[in-house]
Amino acid sequence: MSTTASTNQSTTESLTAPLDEHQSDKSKQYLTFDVANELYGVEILKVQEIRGWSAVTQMPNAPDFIRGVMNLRGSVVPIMDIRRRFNMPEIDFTPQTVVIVVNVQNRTIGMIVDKVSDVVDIEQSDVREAPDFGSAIDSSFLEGLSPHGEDMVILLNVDEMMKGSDLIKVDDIIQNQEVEEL
Amino acid sequence: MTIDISQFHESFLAEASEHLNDFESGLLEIENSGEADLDAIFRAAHSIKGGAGTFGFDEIAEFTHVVESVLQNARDGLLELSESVITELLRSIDVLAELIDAAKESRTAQSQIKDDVYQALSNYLGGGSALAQGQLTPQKAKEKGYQFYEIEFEPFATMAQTGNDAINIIKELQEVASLNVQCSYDNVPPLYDICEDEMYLSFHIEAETSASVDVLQEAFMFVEDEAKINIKALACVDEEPATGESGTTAEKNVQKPKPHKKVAAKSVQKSETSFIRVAVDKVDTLINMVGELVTNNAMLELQIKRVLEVEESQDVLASIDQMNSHTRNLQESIMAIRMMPLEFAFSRFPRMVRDTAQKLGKKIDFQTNDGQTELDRTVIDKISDPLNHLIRNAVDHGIESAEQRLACGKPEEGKIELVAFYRGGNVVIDIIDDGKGLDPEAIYAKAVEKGLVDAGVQLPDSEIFKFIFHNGFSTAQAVTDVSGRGVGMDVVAKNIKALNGSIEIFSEKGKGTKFSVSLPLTLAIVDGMATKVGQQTYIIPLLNIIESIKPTADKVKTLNDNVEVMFVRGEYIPILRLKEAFVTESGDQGIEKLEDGIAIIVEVESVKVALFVDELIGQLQVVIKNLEDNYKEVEGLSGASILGDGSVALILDLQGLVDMAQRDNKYLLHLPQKFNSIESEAQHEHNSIN
Amino acid sequence: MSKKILTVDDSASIRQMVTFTLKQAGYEVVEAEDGVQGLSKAQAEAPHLIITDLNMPNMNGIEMIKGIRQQPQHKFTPILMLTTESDDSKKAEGKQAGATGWIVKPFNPEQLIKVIQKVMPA
Repeated sequence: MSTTASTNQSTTESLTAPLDEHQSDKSKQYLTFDVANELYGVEILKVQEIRGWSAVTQMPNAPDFIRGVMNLRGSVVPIMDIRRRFNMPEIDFTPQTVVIVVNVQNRTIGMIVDKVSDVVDIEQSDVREAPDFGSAIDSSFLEGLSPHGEDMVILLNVDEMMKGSDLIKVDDIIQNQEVEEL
Repeated sequence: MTIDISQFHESFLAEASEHLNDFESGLLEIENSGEADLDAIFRAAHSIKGGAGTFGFDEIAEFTHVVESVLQNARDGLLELSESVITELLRSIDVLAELIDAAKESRTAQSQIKDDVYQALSNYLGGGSALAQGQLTPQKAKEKGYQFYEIEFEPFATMAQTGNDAINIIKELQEVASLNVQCSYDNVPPLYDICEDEMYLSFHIEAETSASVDVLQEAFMFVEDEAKINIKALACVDEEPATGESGTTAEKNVQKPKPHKKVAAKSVQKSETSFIRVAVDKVDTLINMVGELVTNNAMLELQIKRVLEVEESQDVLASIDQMNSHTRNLQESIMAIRMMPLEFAFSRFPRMVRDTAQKLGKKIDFQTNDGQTELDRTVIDKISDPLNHLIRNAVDHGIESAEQRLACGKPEEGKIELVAFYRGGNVVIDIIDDGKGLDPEAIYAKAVEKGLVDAGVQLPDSEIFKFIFHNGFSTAQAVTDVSGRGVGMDVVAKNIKALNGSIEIFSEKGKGTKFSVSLPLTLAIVDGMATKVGQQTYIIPLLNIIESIKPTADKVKTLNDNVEVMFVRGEYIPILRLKEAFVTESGDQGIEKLEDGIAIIVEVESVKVALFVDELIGQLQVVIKNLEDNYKEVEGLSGASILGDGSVALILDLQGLVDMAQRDNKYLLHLPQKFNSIESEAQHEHNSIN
Repeated sequence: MSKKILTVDDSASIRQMVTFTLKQAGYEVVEAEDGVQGLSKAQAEAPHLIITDLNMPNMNGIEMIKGIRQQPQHKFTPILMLTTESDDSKKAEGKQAGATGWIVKPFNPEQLIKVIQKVMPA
């Protein structure tokens, strides 16, 4: 279970100093996508796959931003609606609506976004700390902002997004893992 | 006719290597313990020789022959297995290993010691040894001269009834010998007595052959018990007689059982105790895969029933049925790989009980009976701790001190039993003590104090006992009777629940307590009933389902505007609408009117509830997927499963569902039999809400 | 005309191997998966020889052999049972039921053909 231990550790690190960890690398690749006409990015290494939107099985008594769960090659994976997560106005799903499947803390989760955009290289030295967006987006969900051409990419901290939601109870994870280790 | 047997070479050589291993470990066993399973060792050598001969590895066959002969002599007591003999035999293994390796790599064997060992072993074989007794390979036999045999062959009347034909046997003899056959019809009855399926002829056969007597015997192999057979070796053309007794007439009665039969029986015992080591995750992968297969089968069946007309589908369904049963067998076999005797978990407890009792100065007679039950390894791993806790509690808090016991007229020695048995698809483990029992009043008072229940609410004892599973129930010191019992009981209950198991308490004050833990045999699969609510598919564990009933208006009553009950076979059963218990976005799409849907009566820990759903889809077996893997635990659900169409269905955790409803005060779940008391209780709950 | 052989075994792989071997040897082969199927195919297909496993679902080999011997056309048809070497009692039981002989598992193609030729020479 050494991988587990290291995962926990890196989680703690990213909690305290999200930027330090990345500054050591010069450049990282991000998958960018549109949500409500804003460009967001998520580190490509965390992305498992991109798939079209299809009907999900709704989860009872779940927060509204969890649309439900879907079968991803035999795994039951929760699907999060980014617009709802960020309290943005809802739109009808279009053919361009996609689910970005990311791996976070040994878990797999899908994020519904308006459309995927591109894969871009972002110099870590260009990343600025995110300003306070007010109530709309919890700033802890953000890794930072980075200019990209004429646009600005909002880099998401998916680990934090999972934790901030009551999606994953960190204590539970640790507890479970301890039990398994025994 | 030719068949290319080279396609089987690889498996023979692999087999031979295994036999060689058995051979070696058998020899070492003799050296270590002096105990010899010579039959098994002989068998290993015999198999190598036989296979090598069959597949044309003459060098191996020839060499193994001498090894086998030495072993045979040892087995028959003609040769003592001295240290030097064993050394040579061990060296012979090295030789054989090289020969086999060479054959595997299709190269010429290079063994320095082969001739040496061969010679040494041959030297152990004196005259009249097994080597000379006709166990030679055909080539060897051919080198020898011809021999005359006289064969008496008198089939019993019934021989033909097994499909054996004397003429076939004679034809077979003809292939290996030149024959002179005389037929005797002395026994043929008068025409009107002749029965078409009876055999009346007997034969006197003179055979001249270079083949051994064994080869002749082989022709009669199937009719040994259906005929009188006598083969006599007459004179010998060559100076070396096949039977080893020169010049005399040796008689060999083929009806004698062959010596190697005993060997064969031994070898089976051996194979029962041979194991291979397999990584658990490989087995897990298999279990998962076969689980998916089961699900696919189930859905395929459903879909075909939906798509095809009854007549068209019959053949297809029959095939699917067959496939189902094969898959089911496959699944059981694979599951069995991971099954372990519960004994493994039980074995650690006697010591623990002894030590704990000693520390506490108590006398305890601890009995276990695992009932030869087996559980999935994963379940066993996880049940050990909860059991340990329950047993320790029984020793610590259940059984009274010797003085107390004597004072209330009990034997000084307390008794704790740990008993396991199968019930349905579950293994039940009972922990029974004859101690002081639980005090429902004290627990109740405590529960009231903790705010778990309102004072005055009537609860049966069985419900009261459940309070001890509440988190932190025992922390207060006020009720000493209970406090000990409560330590970590919430953890016990949680662990058992995590295994999809359940725990029940039976206790009588002063007499004793029984904790009854029920566990599924495996965590991987559940038999369930698929149901529809709106767009959602929910799976209800089959084990809990009593029946499904279409509610009618006259059977349903509403109490205090918010509690619906259904009258079923003399009982009022609360109705739990799944779409209300499980709030989802489209949940309100489910059927509202009770008459339009269906109620499934389920029982969970003696509580009956009518689950109201839109419709039943069908029965299926599903693989349980954890929701926690990627999401989190969801109250009322024990997991999810993927259906044949790729969609996800949710599996109900009935206990959780009942707890939820109970907590929300939405439903009455402890319904006494009489309607009146329901109303008063309902009134009470209603009041407590307002 | 080539001789027809019915092979009855619940193990698909054994059936495959037997069928393959027999077809190579020029026999016509009919398969059945259990005793019940075996019984009905013995009736319908009129094979010249029957090879059967003993441990099978639905109807075991012993019962099937008894049943086949009841069919007038198969009074003398050679029936070979597949046994394991240790199965002496099964062997005797099979003979009692009317089996002609046995083939000890595991067997190789030559052994199979040899035993067949023993009870049904070409």
